[in-house]
Amino acid sequence: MEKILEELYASDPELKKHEKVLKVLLKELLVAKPDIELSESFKAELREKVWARIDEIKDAPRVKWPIFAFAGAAVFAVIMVPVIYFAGLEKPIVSFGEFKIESVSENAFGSLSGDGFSAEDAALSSTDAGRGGGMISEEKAAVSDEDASIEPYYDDYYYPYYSYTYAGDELTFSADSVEVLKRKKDTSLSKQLGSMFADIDFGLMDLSKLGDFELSNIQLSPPSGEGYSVYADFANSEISISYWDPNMWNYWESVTSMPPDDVLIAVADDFINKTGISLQGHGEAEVNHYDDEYYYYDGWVPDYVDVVYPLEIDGKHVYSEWGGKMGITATVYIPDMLVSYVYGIKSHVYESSSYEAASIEDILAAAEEGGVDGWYRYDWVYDENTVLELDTPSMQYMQHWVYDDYESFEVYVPAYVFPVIGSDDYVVVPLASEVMQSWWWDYPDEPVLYEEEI
Amino acid sequence: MMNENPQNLSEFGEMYDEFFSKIYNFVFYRTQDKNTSEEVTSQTFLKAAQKFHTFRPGKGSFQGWLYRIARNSLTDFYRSKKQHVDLEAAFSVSSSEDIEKEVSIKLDFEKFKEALSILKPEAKEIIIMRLWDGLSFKEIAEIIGKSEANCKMILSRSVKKLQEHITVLTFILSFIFLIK
Repeated sequence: MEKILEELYASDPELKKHEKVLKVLLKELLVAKPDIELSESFKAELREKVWARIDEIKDAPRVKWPIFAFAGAAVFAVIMVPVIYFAGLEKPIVSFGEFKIESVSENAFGSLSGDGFSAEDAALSSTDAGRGGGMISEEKAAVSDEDASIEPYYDDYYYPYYSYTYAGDELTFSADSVEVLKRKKDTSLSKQLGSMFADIDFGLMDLSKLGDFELSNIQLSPPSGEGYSVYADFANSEISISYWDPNMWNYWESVTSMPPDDVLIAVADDFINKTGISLQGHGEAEVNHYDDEYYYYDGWVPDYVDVVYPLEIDGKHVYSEWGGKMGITATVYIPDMLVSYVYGIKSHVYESSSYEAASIEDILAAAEEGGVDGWYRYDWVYDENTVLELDTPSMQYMQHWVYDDYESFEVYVPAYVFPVIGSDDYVVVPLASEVMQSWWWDYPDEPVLYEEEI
Repeated sequence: MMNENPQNLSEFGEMYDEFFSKIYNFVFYRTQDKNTSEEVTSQTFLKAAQKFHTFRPGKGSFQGWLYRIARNSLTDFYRSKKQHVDLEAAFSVSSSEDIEKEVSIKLDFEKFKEALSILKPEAKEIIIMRLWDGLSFKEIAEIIGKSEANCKMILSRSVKKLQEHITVLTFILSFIFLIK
């Protein structure tokens, strides 16, 4: 631990002032290291397998898989086999492709804070503890406790001091409520398939005597383990595709630069077209560059890049909690320029429920604090003390996960997306009051209070 | 200390025991599941044997190359299972009460684990590589494809961020204790 501390102090001498807490932190991280469970027989078996493989491949020629042909067949199998089966039995077929929004009563999805705290708790804690986050002014935080040992703490080393200011057109938002969407899960196909499998005569037992069944998911894999696999989640009406091939690991050989977007999109389009994946309700493909600044600097070329066909609901896009547009996503494996993963192929029947809207004052305050992910912006992106201007927002949706003891689920909340002038970045602010409050509880922004001596 | 690079497949086979524990532990720390660790470790070594001819010693060490295959195999494993690589799970082991008493700091360890969630996955990965895997910054840099200086910077900033977060949490807990 001493060595690690020395390394940390060498990187940042300021850390030495907090040695006491750092030692606790490092000890805690080291203590949390799991005890290894290892089977010596496994080690021996794998040694034999490795040697067998070495002997086997020394002179063997390599053959590429006819990947697209298999992918098409796999998707066809997942979707069409149940269709053909049920058609024969004259039973109804559930379609994944239908787009529909059904209105339900207000607040129908329960609390959207989903973190064990109500909006009132969050606001109260935020105010009393001086956690800021746009819900309290810096002045108020500074005088919230008169104890001389407690002062607002500003760190000019780690946290970038860039701040946001709204510079767009006058914003008028006076709605009392906003419509929040929740994807409706249709379990009828799952039940039908469960019933179908329970009817199969295995020759060993009668499954149907055990009661009713649902088939929650199924995975189709290529016989050799190499090629495309398809995972169909019937409980959530969702399909994903993944590719595996040991020849994928050749990134040391040729990849030195990032392919242009149109080339990546062409690879994704080719796969989507050949496999017949429906793009109904989705827009034109775009390469997800949202995290480029964080992940891909120093000229490093990633192995995978996502090409997204953005989901469009009533003309609005849906932004994920961590940035970027959601939709059908094809992950391109750059060294081989093939689609190695596809997800977001799902049903689009939604329930819509009214929730209390945030005030325009809170919306603007939240935007000027950096929106829902302002906490995560890193200072190598911008210089310190930078003031970024926000342009007039567009109305879109924001993904928001609600964590509950019994069921975690996602909702799409109307949100303002403010473009950051002069950059490709943007700030997202949810317009449902409860959701906005829950984000500020989770990610307090400065100023925070700091106690010098513990 | 970097391992010497095997010059051919047979040498790789002979060095299996030397690499096995490192790779198995690397996977186990991130999955904490014996069966999954065995599956991913198997894939790693079999893929490495299969692709040994593509290894270029001039571009890095064999050990770094092997770790990268393990890391990608983990990602692929979770992708195939429609899950994400959940490095936060790696911190799910209960904390020691002795440490709490030893330093007399009132830390709520649930909040501590929550504190880790403020870090980006890559930062958490570097913390695990340095503290649990015992890899040097040079080795970490090679595995994740960043410069050594950047890895050091990310670690120190992450630790600083955690330290600050915990300090704030400690204050809030003290505050709650006072008003009770």
